[in-house]
Amino acid sequence: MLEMIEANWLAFALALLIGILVAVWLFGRAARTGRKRQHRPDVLDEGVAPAQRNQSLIDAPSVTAASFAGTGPDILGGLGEIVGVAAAEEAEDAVPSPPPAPVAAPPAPAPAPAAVGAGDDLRRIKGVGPKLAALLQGLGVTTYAQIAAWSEADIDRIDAQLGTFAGRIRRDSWVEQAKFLAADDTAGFEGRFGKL
Amino acid sequence: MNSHRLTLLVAGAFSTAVIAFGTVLGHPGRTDPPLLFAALLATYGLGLGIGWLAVGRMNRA
Repeated sequence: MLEMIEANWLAFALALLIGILVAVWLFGRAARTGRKRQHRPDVLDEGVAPAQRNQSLIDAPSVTAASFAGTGPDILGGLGEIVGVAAAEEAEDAVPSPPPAPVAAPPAPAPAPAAVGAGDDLRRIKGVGPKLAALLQGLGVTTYAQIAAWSEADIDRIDAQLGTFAGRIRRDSWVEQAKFLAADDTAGFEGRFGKL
Repeated sequence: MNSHRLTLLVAGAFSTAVIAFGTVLGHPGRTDPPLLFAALLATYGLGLGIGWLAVGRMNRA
């Protein structure tokens, strides 16, 4: 046996090399694929509630301003006067609105007149996946007609609540897509955005 | 094991068999052909094992 290996060492070396290469190719590839499939955490794994809470905190009037409203110019000399006047103005602005709840849902977008009835499958809009669809439902957006009726101001307001998906509405032309889908114009949609 | 991997394994074995065939043709009468085929295929299997161990070690590191 050893004589045979000595006589044909090149053939044996080649066979060994081929075996090693095939194994590295096979198992190395499997390891890389396995790493890719690992779960990566996303902010939206926690649901829509944290985003809504943050937005309500941003929209709430400043508590600090209200606490300075009653103070006069005597507390810090000239600086106190300036702060007091500014705080009083801000507190006046804040008074007409009711005190904010810690977790208040942001105002839902204006529903379109045709938006009555069961919700549409928003995932048919290119660029909207299961997470975005759930997020939109949480914001009260359930039909194509609602999205089709969005104005620039509506887009800005919704966009601010989309978290990591901010900017998708304009980038993926949701409103334009929704207009086709609301009109049930599949041919028009596919002509503009590709197959449904 | 999917068909892609199986194809790769068989292709490696086939290449080894071609090498064995070439060796037998290149040195007629010096080696026992079936024994050489078996020995080279066994070496190919050994290479697979070594490669598998090496990849496992690299992934753990």
